[in-house]
Formats: sequence, C-alpha cells, structure tokens
Amino acid sequence: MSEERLAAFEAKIARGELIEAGDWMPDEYRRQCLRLIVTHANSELMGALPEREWIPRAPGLQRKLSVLSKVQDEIGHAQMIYRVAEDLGRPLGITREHMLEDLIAGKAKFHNVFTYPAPTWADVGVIAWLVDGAALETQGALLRTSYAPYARILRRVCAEEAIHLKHGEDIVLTLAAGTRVQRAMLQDALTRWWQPLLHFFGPPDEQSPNTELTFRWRIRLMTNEQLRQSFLRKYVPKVQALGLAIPDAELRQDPATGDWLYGDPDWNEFWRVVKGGGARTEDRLRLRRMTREQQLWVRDAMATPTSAA
Amino acid sequence: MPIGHELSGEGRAALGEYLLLMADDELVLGHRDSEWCAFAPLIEEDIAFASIAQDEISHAALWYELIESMRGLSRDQLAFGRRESEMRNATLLERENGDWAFTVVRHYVYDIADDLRTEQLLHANEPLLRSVAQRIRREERYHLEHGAMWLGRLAHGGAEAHRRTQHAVDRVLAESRGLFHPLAWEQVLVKEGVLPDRPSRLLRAFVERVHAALGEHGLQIPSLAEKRESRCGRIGHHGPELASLLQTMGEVWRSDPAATW
Repeated sequence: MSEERLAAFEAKIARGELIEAGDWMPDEYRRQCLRLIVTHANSELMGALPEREWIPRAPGLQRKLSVLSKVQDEIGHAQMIYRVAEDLGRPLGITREHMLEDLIAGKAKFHNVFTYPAPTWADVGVIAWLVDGAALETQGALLRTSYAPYARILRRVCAEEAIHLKHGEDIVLTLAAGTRVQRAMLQDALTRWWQPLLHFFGPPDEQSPNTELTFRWRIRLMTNEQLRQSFLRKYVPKVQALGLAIPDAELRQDPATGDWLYGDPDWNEFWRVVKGGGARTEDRLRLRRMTREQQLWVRDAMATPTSAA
Repeated sequence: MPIGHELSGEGRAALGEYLLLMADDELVLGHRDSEWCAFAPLIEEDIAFASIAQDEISHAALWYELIESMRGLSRDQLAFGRRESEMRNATLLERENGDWAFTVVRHYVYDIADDLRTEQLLHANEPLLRSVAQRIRREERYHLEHGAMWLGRLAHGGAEAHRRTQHAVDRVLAESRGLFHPLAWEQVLVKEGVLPDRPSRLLRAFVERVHAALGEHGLQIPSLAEKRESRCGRIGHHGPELASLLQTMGEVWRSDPAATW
C-alpha cells in the first residue's frame, strides 16, 4: 500500500504537479522540505542582524527609511516562511517555538553568509546588492519547487528581494561615484564579501550532501554550481564596470562555455562556518537568546487570558 | 509658494520653530522605535513596530521639508547636522527604550499628544499645514489602535506585566507635561492667525485623554498636571541620551556632510 502511494507520489512529481500541505507525502519528503524551509526562515531572521546594526546610523532620512524597510521585509519573510514550516511540521509535532528554540540553542542551521561582520556603511550596500542578488538566484530557482505552499510564498519573497537589490545597488553606485574615502570603503567591503559570496551557493556539487532525493522529488531544481555560475555571469561584469577589483587573481571567463573559473575559495573555511565557527555566529545567537529571554514576560502576558480587557 | 510667505518675519520664525519641534519629536521617537527592529517580543511585532518607526521618520521628513525653504537647509542637514542644544524634541522621547512596557506607554501617550496637535493643525490657516496634518493622521489612527491594544494586553497580562506597565506609566507621566511646555513664540502663531490657539493649551485635553486611556485599565495615574520638569527639551535642554542618539545617528553622515550618501 505505502509503496503504491510512493509510486503515485513520484508519478505526480514527474508529471510536474505540485504537492499541497494536506496531500499525502513520504515522511522523508516532509523532512527534506522542512529542513530546507526552516533553514531559509532561520536565515531570514538571522540575516536581519548584520543590517539592523546600521538602521540607527544610516546616513540620511531616505537611507534610514530604506534600510529599516529592508530589514522589516527580511523579518517578514522569516514570518511567512515559518508559517509554511509550521504546517509541514505539525504532523511531526514541530512548532515555531521549537524551531526558534533550536535556532538559538545553536542546533539548527542558518546561512553561513549571516555569520560575517558588517563593519562599515558600504557593507550595507554590498549585502543588499550582492548577498540579496545571490539569494535571488537560489530563491528564484526554487519558485518551481514541488512543494506548492513554499513556491507561493517565494513569489512574494522574490518580488521584495528584487527591490532590495535596487536599494543595495543604489547605495553601491552612490559610493562608487563618491569621494576617495567612499570608494575605498566600498572596495574594502567587496573584498570582504567576495569569498562569502562564492560560498553562498554551497560546496561544489560533488561535495554536496543530500542532493539525490531533493532533485528527484523536485524540491530543488538547480545545483550549487549552476546557481553560482548564474550569479557570476550576472554580477562579475557589473562589479567590474564600477571599477572595483574582485579579489581573485584566477578569475576568468571560459570563452567556450561562458562559465567563470575562480580560484579555490577556501572550502575549509566554508565547512568551519557551517559547523558554527563563523566570526559572528556565537555573538548573534547570544544576542537572539538574550532578547528572547528579555521579552519572555511579554510573551507570557500575551498568553494570559484577557477577560478583564 | 513657500510656506508662511504671507507672514511677518516674526511669524515665519515662530512657524519654523513649531515645525522643527514637531519634526524633532517624530525623528527622535522614530529613531528609538527603529532600535527595536529585530528585537521586538514577537516576530509579528517586529514587523508592526518597524512600520510605526517608518511612519514617524516619514512624518519627520514631511515637517523638515516644509522648513527647508524657510531656513535654506536640506532635510538631512536639519535632521543630521544640528547640535543637541538645537534640538527641540521633548525629553520624554529621547529616553532610551527600556523595556517593552515603557516603549508601549511612551508611544501611546505621545500618540495621544500628537493626535491633539495634528487635530488642531486641521484648523490652521495654511493649506500645507492642513494637508500634512491630514496625511499624518491617516497613519496615526493605526498607531493609536496599536497602542491601545498593547496597553490592554500588558495591563491585564498578569502580575509582572501589570507591575512593569505601572512603572512605565509613572515614568512616562512624570515627563509628559514637557510635550506641551508653553513657549513665547506660540502667541505669535495665534496673533498672525496661523493657529486657532496656543499648542501648549492642549495640555488640559491631553491630561483628560491620558487619564481616560490609562484609567480604564486599573492603572494608578500620578498627578501629571502639577509636575515640574527638571529639563525642557523644547528650549534645547537635553540629557545625555540625546547626545548619544545624535552621535550614533550622525556617525556616517557627519563623517563627510558634503558627500552624497
């Protein structure tokens, strides 16, 4: 019976049909989707932290408003994506509270890229332009994922990310056209972020775990390297057009394939960060734990019946 | 036509003072609100409060824009380029956020003050003042609803929440009279027909509204009407919190005010 169900499920996926939250699905499909989606939600939530440090310091009212609005969007994405994860997790007894507890306990993953410091205003521009640009590559590819509720949420997420890109590009273009100090600040930020950007898409395909089932079930549709190349094709020429130096002496385009060949971006560093060793991993988790603890009384108050109110 | 072009020099100066006072209130509170972003008690509240922060900062921008032509300064120069002693915000609004109860109570009490102030502006003789006030009031309605909801939830949310809310009420009301501190130039605005009455005379209506809003939740209300404040932000007497806020806010902008950011 369960083999028939599995065969029917796989036939449905093969026909390009989508899976809804209430449909039957193999437990392993549920777990793989849940892992991907919770990691995405965690990353949106943790991704708010490096940029939020610059909300109070944004230079100019318009910048202040746009950084604030951008960080608000990221938290909004976390909220919507946790909702998708809550539906998936329900039959397994996994709630948003569990997800948040696992995150702050350091038991759940969030994206490597959000473990790096953002020491200058130029980092805000580079993050919003290139990190969000990288995110748009991965999330854009997931629009055709077989899990329908996630695909629907991603349509809105991608629309907002496209605006973040414009916001980041505007900061970057302004600095690139600015004073000597501003241009140097921008170059330093790019130099800092280039390796994390190559890491963004994950290790080379042959080193990437958990891929076979996720591709067969169309949870993911593009490999790490395909996504990385798609990003490099779009952004290397744009970065170079600004007169910025990409810190990779080996970077060159293969004239036959159009692929960008890049120097070894230190995959040992990638794995070290995956295992929780990022420069700001512990600080940012501690900050999340601390604020969550400080606000516990408010959540308790919200849970109190308000018959008197 | 720039705002206030038909007023005397004295009238324009008084109008400039009033616009600056409102802009500074909104900027400083909006900045404090924005400090919650990513740290609010719930994810949903992060989103809501970030919207409120954006509203307040946008309102500040609207008021600063009206002053641009009067003072020959850009809105960013007005917001980022002035010294602490030149800021006209009420001291209540520059205080650090403290806990969520202080944040909620301060915001709600300020929203009541702002509601009265913008309502009076609907009767101003300047069409620009009326239209900006109308625009602001469309958004402030939701801030009032948000504040009333949270105040109720906290005041009736068990012993700890109630205790913290009461403490916040004591602190906020001790300083809230400063929102309506009487100022010499107010009389000029009335004399030249800009406003129907001195804004500081809204204090009585403010006290009544605050009593009604807080009293219904069983909170003790300190006698706000007789309180004397040590410092008055309206005449540029601020605390160390504002100095630190301005330093943070201007850190990048002031590193090169002539640059485009």
